[in-house]
Amino acid sequence: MNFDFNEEQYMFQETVRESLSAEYPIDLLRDGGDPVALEAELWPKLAELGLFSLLVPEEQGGLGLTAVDLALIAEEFGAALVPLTVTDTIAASLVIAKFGDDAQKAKWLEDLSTGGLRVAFAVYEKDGGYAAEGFASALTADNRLNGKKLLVAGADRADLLLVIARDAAGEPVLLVVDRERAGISVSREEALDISGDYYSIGFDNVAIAEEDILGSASAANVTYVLDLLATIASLGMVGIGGRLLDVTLDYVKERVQFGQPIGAFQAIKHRCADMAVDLNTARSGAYYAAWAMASADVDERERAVSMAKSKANRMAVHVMREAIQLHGGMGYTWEMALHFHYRRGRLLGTLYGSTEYHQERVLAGTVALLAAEQ
Amino acid sequence: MDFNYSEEEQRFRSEVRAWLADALPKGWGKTVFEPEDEDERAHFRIDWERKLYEGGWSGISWPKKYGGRGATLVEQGIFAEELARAQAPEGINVIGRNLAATTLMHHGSEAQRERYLPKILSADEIWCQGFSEPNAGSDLASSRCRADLDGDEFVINGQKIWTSFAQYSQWCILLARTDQSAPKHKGLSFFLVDMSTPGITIRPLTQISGEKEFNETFFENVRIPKENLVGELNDGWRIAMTTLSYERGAEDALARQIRFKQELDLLIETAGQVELGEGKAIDNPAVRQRLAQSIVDLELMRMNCLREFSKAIKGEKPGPESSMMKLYWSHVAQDMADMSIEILGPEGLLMQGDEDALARGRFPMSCLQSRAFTIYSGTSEIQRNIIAERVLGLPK
Repeated sequence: MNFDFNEEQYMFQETVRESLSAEYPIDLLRDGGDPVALEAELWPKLAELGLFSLLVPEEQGGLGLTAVDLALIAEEFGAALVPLTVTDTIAASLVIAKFGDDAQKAKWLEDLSTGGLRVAFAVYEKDGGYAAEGFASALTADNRLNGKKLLVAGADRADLLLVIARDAAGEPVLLVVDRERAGISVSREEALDISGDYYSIGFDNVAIAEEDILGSASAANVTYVLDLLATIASLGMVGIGGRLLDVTLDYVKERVQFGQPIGAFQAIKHRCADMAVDLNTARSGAYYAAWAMASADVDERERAVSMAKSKANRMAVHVMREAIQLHGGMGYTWEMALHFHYRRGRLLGTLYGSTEYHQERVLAGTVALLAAEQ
Repeated sequence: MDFNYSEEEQRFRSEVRAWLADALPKGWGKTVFEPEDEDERAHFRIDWERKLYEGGWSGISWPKKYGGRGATLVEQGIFAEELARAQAPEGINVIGRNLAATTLMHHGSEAQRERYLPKILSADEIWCQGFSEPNAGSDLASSRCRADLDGDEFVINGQKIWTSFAQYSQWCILLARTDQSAPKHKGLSFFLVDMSTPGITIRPLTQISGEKEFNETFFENVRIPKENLVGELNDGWRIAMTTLSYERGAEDALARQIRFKQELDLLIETAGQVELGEGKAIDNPAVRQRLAQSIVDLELMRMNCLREFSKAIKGEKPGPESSMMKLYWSHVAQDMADMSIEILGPEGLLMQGDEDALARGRFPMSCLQSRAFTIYSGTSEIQRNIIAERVLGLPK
């Protein structure tokens, strides 16, 4: 029993934090930088740090690490608003390593580990909800894919799309599809989050080969993938919460009104204390979910992830609201740049499962667990 | 990071579980319960603590040289979990074990440790805490109860309040003013007071729950030997901070978490039985969301504790961060208790003793008792000040 990271994990986090603060400060976005161009510059630097090899097995030249090793890094990515293409690509390496056959692993993992391939997850749909069984994009009997996906990060330049669909029998299935394949149309969306770029993707009778199908069609496999994305999103929101709390503390220590720093007023102090407590708890949840992704059985994993995501959602709403509020009028300015975190936080909170979706999942799991104990 | 238990830890768990199964009466928690009368219950709990001691399970985390088992924090966690699983009675000497003893281990003399620790462990001596006063609550450092040196004795005069279990206690940890002219934090000292000393009067206070756990305690020319001073004269504030960090810390919180979880499990079970006209309470989507939120909040309370344990194992000392634990759990538990009587319909309002009461009236009682959570051992407002100033570095 040990709920802590080791020295190496903390050191890696430190390296990533320093690198991001030098290479990807919030000023770039605030000053009007195009997130697509900024990502293009950032990508090779992240590759140089070995970040894309983190979850690739050693046989394919990766570091062979687990979601626990990703946790502190994902938190830093969240804090710095690193485009989601980066975490999507890292997550894809784990998904392919877990569900792919030898040929698929050989085909993709080595390139993924060097940052040579970009992957975009094509998951969400209009009216599709959050569960593996809810998505309507489907394969025909002769393996043609039809459907439309929303909010796919960086899809215009992704090499591969990791698509959640149904097979001809209606069973949820994971597909890895070359983005340039005939019948795929990509168009830029106007999304709330402007620290990244998002696209809708149309699949019009796209031919899917056997080697594009990752593992067997199963709701369990797809749920694992959704849980992985929800865990990374939870960690990202913890990163956002942490960054906003730091920025807010700095501000209330400096800002003087009525002859003293506003941070000396209890009305401000108490709200900062509540933010810190909420953040601490969301952090416990997200770290535990990372461990559960790597090591727990399926029931515990689902519970852990849904606890983490619902808590991170609630924490983010609270901390983001207070961060802007405690900055007063400055908080509402473009220049103060808090809105970038707010926008990303809102996106992460709603995608990968709303609070209500995950809380219902926690309750159903708990009721089943209590029934089994009796 | 690893949430699996080692073989040794699993063995420890089986050992605890087997002992508890043997030590508790047959049908315990199902057909056999604690006495309903408060006074009988207190004595029942003291007897239970002595039984734990005889079985070698009292103060398991204490160092072996003080009679403990030197159990690791992980083993302590397991022990607390197993006590709760068996629905074992709570102890009454928590102030002795968790506050007086830990404070003596940090600040007491070797002679004091030898004198007091064994009897705390055996529950032969029960302790209470004389910190708060009518005019020194959140502003604890303004305590006015005084101790004046007179020859080989200190003479204590003043009043303490909210002294839980004073009526069962043989000893009291007391914060008293020993320098009237020094700044308020610098003139306090920490004492050990024999509750049978002449001049001590206890007057019970009735709580909103109807229970009489806490008291007003009056000291009138109470003479105690000067060797009952803990640490240096006028260093009492610093010593009291050690006491409070244990009172608010992760070990305390984990034991509570398990009790709260039991109560939440009972609530979920009860919500699955109560009909609300349009189906069972638990079938209502809004009720499900509220229950789920409490489950999440409470499970994460455990995770917060385990993270603190891991920090402690690395050697970090408990400090003002313990206020984060206490602020969090007190509100989570209060929210849960509030919810419980909102979701169970009319019969959820019936108290123990009523034939239609749900779960022996546990929920309305918890609703009342939980008002205290956000007040005792430092109100939420004081915890927020501590967090803001001492953890987050905001200006005073």
